[in-house]
Amino acid sequence: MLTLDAVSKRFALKAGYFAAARRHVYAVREVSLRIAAGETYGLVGESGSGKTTTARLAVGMYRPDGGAITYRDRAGDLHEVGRSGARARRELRTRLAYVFQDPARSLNPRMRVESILLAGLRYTANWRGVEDGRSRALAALESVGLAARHLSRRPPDFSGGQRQRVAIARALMVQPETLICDEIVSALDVSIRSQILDLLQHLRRELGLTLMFISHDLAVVTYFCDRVGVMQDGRLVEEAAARELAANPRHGYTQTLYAAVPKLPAPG
Amino acid sequence: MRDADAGPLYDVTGLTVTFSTERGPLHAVRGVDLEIDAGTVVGLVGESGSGKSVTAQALLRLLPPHALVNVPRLLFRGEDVVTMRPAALQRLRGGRVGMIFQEPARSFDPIYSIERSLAETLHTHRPELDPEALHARSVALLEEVGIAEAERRLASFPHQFSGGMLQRVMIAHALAADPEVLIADEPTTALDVTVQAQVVDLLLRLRAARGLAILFISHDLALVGQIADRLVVMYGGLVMEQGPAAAVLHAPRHPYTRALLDAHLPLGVHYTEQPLHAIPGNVPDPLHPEPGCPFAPRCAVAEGRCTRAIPPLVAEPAHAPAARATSSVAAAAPHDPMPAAVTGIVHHRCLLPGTKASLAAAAAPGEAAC
Repeated sequence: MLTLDAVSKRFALKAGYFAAARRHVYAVREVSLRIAAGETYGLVGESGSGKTTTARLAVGMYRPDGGAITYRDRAGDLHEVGRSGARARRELRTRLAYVFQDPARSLNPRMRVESILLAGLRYTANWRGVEDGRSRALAALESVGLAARHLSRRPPDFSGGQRQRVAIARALMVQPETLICDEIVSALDVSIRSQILDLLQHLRRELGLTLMFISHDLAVVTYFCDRVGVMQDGRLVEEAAARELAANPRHGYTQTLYAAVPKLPAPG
Repeated sequence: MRDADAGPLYDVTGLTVTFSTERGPLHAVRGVDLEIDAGTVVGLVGESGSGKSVTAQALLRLLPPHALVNVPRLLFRGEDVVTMRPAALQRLRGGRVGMIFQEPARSFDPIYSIERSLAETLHTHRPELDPEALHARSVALLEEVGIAEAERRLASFPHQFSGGMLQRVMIAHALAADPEVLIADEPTTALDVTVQAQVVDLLLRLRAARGLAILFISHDLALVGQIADRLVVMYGGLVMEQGPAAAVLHAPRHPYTRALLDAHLPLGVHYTEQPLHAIPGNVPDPLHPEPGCPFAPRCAVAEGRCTRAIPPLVAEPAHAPAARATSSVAAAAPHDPMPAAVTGIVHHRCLLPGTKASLAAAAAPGEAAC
């Protein structure tokens, strides 16, 4: 279970040499949320609303300026996310994994898929040597619908959808409990998007994954998630069960978002 | 609307564009016919690599030298664009035809103030204007696209605008020479949905006020459906289906259009209730195009003959009973969503159009490749 308790994060504004030290922008302001084990939690909002910063705080990529983030794993151990110790971080990396938005940018184009997958495992507590890593790599690749022959290829040899499968496989290498998916279908074509969402649903059921699913796309978030939080200007302005939010958005901002989504005529 | 008597503004037949690349010829556009009538909004929809942007660039001969363009007929108001002399081409580009692009922030020179860049555009097309007139015209243009305090904002630089505001400034640029057609290539893709709605409103307002024809290019069928009078659906460098927007959206003839509509996630659907309609397979590789229908490898109803040769574009009346699997006699069904007024001709490239295709497509949801 992932818990964010009144978490804030600010970044220094590089407004000028003298101003730099004093001016800040708050990317996340006192966000509190709780993601239960096995739940899919969606974060939705427009660009700059703090979704990605929240996600990065949740895996310890950033350290919060206020508040606390804790993660209770399946064994019942409590981890304090964002702690500095190398050992604690290696430990945490086996519980939470992160998938980035654009696989064309998050995968090194010069590395073979096998090296990409092994690199995701090497600096974690689950590293048991190259041999073990290779067999895990094959298993991870197969679980995302790719095959052994893809191990020796490089990212440019793949289509966008396949690249995102590789990125998901990399995250699965550590056999995480929780997957943070940051806009992972935003760069994909509509016809490929459904495949990746299906794959993720399948993996979620198979592996009992907890998911944090970030997207600017309301329809995708309310389809895919159990509960959804709506972010605006760094704050969590509304949180509800996905179906409840879709049926009855309460906050004015959520209603504005809903109204702005282009709609197709209802199917006959 | 301007003089609509002289036929279409743009009249394109058989456009093909091939890029020579290190890995061999890349067939980006493989025979596209397109007509844009005065004052109408044509929506060009397709996934990445379908050839929609390349088509748009070919309309203004903007393609780079390594693009081999072959087009038997490319007319703007009856004038041949292919043989157009440089001076006339200059008047066409940004003059009679305006163009806006996906990412406004990348389309501006960051060290030019808005006033300076607008003045440059205006001066190119209206060299007779003196500095005072340029300034007045610039203010008027910014006001027309809905920028408050236009006078003051002229002194600003691109980075001082938000994405949506900058897109408005770009539209002002495109309108500077009073074009007859505006080509908008994914103009809202980089914007948030609330801002997207504002930009679409603006485009529709300009179309009404100026009688502007718009070629609106997007990967988002729902968005294009909101703005377009006519829809052109591209896939694998070919037009799969085109016709009146309402007809294409309500009674798609081609399985690809059908599949795209099914893949669209309506608001309020939940995974616990409804599986996704995934389209198996991958988008076609323009380096190795299929000999037949480009959608055949992913199509639920494709037959052997679909893969042999590219099916010809056939014309059918838009109101023919078709498509919706739930209503066998679409025109008579009480809850049929098809508006009564839909008329015109739908062109599509399917050998097995209509009910059979839609039935099969509807019967095979959620077949993912994983």
